[in-house]
Amino acid sequence: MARVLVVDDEYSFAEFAKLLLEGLGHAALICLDGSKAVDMALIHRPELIILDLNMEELDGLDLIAQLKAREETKNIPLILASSSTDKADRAEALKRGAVYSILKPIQKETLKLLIDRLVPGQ
Amino acid sequence: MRIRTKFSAFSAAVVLATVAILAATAFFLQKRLISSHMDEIRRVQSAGFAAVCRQAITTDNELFMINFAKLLMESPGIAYAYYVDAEGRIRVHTDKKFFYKTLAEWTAGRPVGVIEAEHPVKIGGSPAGRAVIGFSENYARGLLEAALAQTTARVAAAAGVVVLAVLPAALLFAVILTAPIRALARGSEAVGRGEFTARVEVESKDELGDLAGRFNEMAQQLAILDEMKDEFISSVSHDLRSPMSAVKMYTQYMLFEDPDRDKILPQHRTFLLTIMESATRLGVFVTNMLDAAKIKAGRAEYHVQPMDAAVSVRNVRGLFGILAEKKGVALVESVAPDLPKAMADPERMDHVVANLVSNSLKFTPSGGKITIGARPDHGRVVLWVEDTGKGISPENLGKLFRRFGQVDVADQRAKRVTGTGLGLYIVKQTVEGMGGKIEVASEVGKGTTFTVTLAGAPPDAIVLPAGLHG
Repeated sequence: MARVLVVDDEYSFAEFAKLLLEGLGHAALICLDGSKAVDMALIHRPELIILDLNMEELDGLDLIAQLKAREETKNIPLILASSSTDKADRAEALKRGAVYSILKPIQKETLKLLIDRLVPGQ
Repeated sequence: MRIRTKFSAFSAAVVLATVAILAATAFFLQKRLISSHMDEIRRVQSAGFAAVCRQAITTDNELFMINFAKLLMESPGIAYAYYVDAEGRIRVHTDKKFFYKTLAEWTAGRPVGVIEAEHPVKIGGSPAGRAVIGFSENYARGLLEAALAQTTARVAAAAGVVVLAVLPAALLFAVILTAPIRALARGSEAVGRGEFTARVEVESKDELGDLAGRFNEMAQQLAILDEMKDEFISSVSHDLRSPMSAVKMYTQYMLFEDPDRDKILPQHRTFLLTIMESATRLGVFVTNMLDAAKIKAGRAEYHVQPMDAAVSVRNVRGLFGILAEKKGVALVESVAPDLPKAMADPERMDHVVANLVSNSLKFTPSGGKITIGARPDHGRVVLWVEDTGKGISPENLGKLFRRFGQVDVADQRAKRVTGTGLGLYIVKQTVEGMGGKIEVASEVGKGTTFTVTLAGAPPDAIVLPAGLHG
């Protein structure tokens, strides 16, 4: 079982990701406010973070930068989940440290494969 | 007829008419002038003859008179000359046989076609006789005609020169005048095609320059409105996408993923399928709107990667299964067993096939059949959608892939076939954007087949899971 933090200000997507994660037997935490994601990561120490690109309070790109800037969070693998087809932003996210970029809606099989790969020995 | 031709012809006609009126006037005046001039010459000659006659009579020297008459005969155009005294007796005549004959005898045999000019001869204040000269009418007419012919020739030459000068000048003027009109026509054509960046360059300060300025303002306004429309559609579509995507994924989850899905009541299952089908249709529609805006703005992106065409076939069949069933149309798969991987954007490919199937469903009546297939073709991969619909006439096949190119709108409205006319335009743009090729074959009454040919992927290519971009 892996602990996964889902950061998305769109409730329906965050909840759905949680549904899929729990279906796969993982523990999911939802963070609807990007600016609180770093604090939540510090408290709960997730093994994987799935984050949205376009968020009201804090942009996904800035969140990646903040997570990578902290010793405690910089090694947590990050997956970018976005419905935007903006190639430039996605490339930028990958450059800043996101490991994978996936398109919404998230597919269960894709999620399973990525967790198996990114969180070994869970 | 072009304006410049009309203008030149009109100018030439006006000039010719003016020249003709001037020529007629000149001709008339010339004729009158020459006639009066000739009258004057006749008067002077007869007066001279009269003076000679008076002199001859006073000096009683008839020979002088005879010699002068002979001399007169030598000048051209004079037919005869004679002097008749107060008693009516001819005293001198250029024809000797009339000497001392009566006037009546002479007039009986007088030649015709002669204009006579006479002058009285007075001696000491009382009339003594008349000096008469007969001028040949033919000779006078000949002179007159020669003079008039010369005038006519001159006028004609002048007219020719004027017309030759006026025609090119008129043509040049007309070309200069109509250049802005032609520019405006070209501009209108471009704007009509939807090129709102088209501008008309007319520098002149006249009405045409004003019109061109207004035309450019209009085109600019149209461009702004067009852009606003695109942005509006794009933002509306984008905002529609997230909630719709949520509807779809939850419905799908309830139907196929949820551990408790077996507990759904059968009628609720049907309702959920209907919700999913509606969300699918709306999804295709919204994606089309977004795609069209992106293609138009040149912002379309394709993540071409190795993909399994069979997955696209399966996905789309899954999307439209319920809708086809409701319409009474069989939706079947036909995937070749040895299908290699293709090079395409998997998400966009699903959308292409979804558009083709959605299109076929629209035109295939109940009892018909739609086949979604995939097969290898010399190292490439062919995806095809075949229907037993009403078919497309050859003249409409060409219009098929145009933007808003839905064929025969009136006919479709009558038959309640709806659509944005964007689907096939996007299909073509997307397939070509991914480096593929699309073809269509159709027979009216029998059906239509759309064929998408994609490049094959290397045999050892890895297909990434759906939605993943590494």
